[in-house]
Amino acid sequence: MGIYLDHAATSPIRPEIKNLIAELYDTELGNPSSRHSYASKAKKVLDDAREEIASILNVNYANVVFTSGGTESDNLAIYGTIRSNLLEATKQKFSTIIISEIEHRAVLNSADEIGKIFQVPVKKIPVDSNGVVLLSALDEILDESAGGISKCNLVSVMASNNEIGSIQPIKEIYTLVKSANKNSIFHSDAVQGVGWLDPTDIVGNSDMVSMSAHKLGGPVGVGVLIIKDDIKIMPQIIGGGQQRQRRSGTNDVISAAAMAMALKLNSKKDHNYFHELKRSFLIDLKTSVAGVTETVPEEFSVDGMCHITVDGVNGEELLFLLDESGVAASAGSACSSGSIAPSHVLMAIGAAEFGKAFIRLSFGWSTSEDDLSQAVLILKKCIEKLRQ
Amino acid sequence: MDIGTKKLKIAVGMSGGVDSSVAAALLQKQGHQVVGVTLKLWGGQSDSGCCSVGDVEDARFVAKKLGIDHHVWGFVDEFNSHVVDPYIKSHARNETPNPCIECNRHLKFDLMAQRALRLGFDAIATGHYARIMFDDKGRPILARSVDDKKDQSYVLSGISKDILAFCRFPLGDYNKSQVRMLAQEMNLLTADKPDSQDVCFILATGGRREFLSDKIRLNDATIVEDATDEVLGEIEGMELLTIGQRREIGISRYGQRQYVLSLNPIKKEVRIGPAERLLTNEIFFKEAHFLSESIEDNQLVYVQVSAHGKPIRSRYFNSGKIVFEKPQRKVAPGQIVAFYDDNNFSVVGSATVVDEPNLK
Repeated sequence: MGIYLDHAATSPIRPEIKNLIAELYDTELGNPSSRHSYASKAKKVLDDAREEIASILNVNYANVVFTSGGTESDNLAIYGTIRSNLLEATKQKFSTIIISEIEHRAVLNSADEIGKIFQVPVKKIPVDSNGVVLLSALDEILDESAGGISKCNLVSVMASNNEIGSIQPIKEIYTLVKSANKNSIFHSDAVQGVGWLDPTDIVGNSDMVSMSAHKLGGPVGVGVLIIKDDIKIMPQIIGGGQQRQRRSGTNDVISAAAMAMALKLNSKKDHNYFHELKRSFLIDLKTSVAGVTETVPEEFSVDGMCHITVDGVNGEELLFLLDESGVAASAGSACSSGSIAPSHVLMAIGAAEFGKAFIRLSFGWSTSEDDLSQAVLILKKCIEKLRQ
Repeated sequence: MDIGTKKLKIAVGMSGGVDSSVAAALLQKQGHQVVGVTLKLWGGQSDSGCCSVGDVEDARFVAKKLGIDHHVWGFVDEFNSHVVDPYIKSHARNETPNPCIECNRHLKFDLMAQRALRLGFDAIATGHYARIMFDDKGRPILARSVDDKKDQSYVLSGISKDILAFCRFPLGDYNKSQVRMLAQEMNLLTADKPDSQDVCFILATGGRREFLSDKIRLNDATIVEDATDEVLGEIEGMELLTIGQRREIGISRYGQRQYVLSLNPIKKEVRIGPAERLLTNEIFFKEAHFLSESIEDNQLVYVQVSAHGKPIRSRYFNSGKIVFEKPQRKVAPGQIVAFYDDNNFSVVGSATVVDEPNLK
């Protein structure tokens, strides 16, 4: 068996969720929108899932919109709100889209694209060398983007970064955004953050939040967008008007149930365990191998992610040898061709440098202490081989 | 050497095309442990060339079919510094660069071989039509393919001596039609792509002009008839012209086709004339590098000056000169001249053509 340290890419499905899915496929579920007993059963599964998620996140069940995953949630949040400019009876007239420069491509590219179409300027908040957004810079951008009484901003900042794990000061950002203009909307991509930070904290300090099941041991292909009561969005997927006109298409009730269970199991996670796991892994690794550092200091990043910089070796080569030795890790973000492109995140924090390897090791529900002590030995062996 | 029998771990450069697919399959059949590798070289736009996402997908598909692992190795920065930048600078000097040879030398062989070595491979292989053989002292030599028409030893002539023993060219003993048949037998004809051509990092739509226009200054020049010194017209972007070219000049004199005979960047002058004026008895070269022992002065060699050009019987001079046995068309500076032994069998070395004697 290999050592899987790429939970931030996707986490293996948890046995409880696999069982639930199998059970539900054995249940005769109809289309929840139909009117017979099969439909009612399906409707109950869907409603239960929605209620469960709402209660975990401390929101109203109507705030939960199921999507096909994190990317769709981000797209719906950004396209959906900016396109609501077209609605007449709305206070939302956006003058600027403001995002951090280390957002996931789903946010970065959606913002750039919709900004172009609607001619809404997109401004990017810089981050410091720890990958944390500069609140003073956000403050300045908000000042510049005031844009008159009827105008507001759409701001999107992720809860924690998908590459380096840096934690963002969501509460402070939310306060700044709202105090600059109470009509402005704040969205947070919490696809990575929800597993490692308090989800109610993120949701409580946002107007919209994106989440995805497969980073939590659920199936790929389902996520949610939490949309607070007074936020108007235009749907991206038009059809039968399901999910209160916000996302059409027959509800995937089984995936919805799996999403709910993923969030529920996540809320029972022993955070101390992972905190200790990462801490001792880093100590172990740094004492065994010279020239290895955390790209972002421990206190600025989530417990589930360990992004390391390795001097004097090439990232692709290190990943190759790690894979051969049974360790699954990742480097930067993979581009569509499969080669490792220089990452916009590493560029933003000023870490991208030639002649160094950047490796992301990410943990999850199945990661054991034993996995990590073995991983240290393998990392040591591979790094030393490449340095010869 | 027990090259034939020892089971090796081999990284095969794969483009998804027929040749590299068959090369990988042949090595696999010989019992070697084969891993497919596609190089990601160019970060910008390309038609299909050798570095696009489409090629990576094709190669991955073939690797899956063969049941071998496939990896993408990125050398985008190195490709820029070893191939693209020199290409641009060469054009700025009114030369005619050959980026494919530079890419083979630095990327496909040097860097790939170095990485493969570090990662514990015993050899690298590609689908080039050429052969690695061994001389009587057991030293590797780069020989022409058995298929004269497909022989690619010329484009490999720049690779360094040190890594020759580390390379395998499984297609060198086959001709193209046999390779196509093998591909069919092995059901590998899925990606029946045309042979890659032209410069992979330049789009067919905009061509060299568009690619170069925002990188270097393209100068206007006057077109002068060489025989009479008569000014015949103007041309935009003399940096895009090459010696021996007749297209784009758009001039015919006395019913004869006219060719570019010389380019003078100082006078901003392009001299043209009929084909016979292109003929020369000698060419000069610089930066010679050798794959075997260096050549004796005044030695009989065969030279080749383009990928599918015919071999020319010549004499080699250490001063940096090749004297043809019979007059030949001029060769544009920047092009690569490959030297073959006196039997025209194997590559001895190669060098870059210059337009005047190399004064040291």
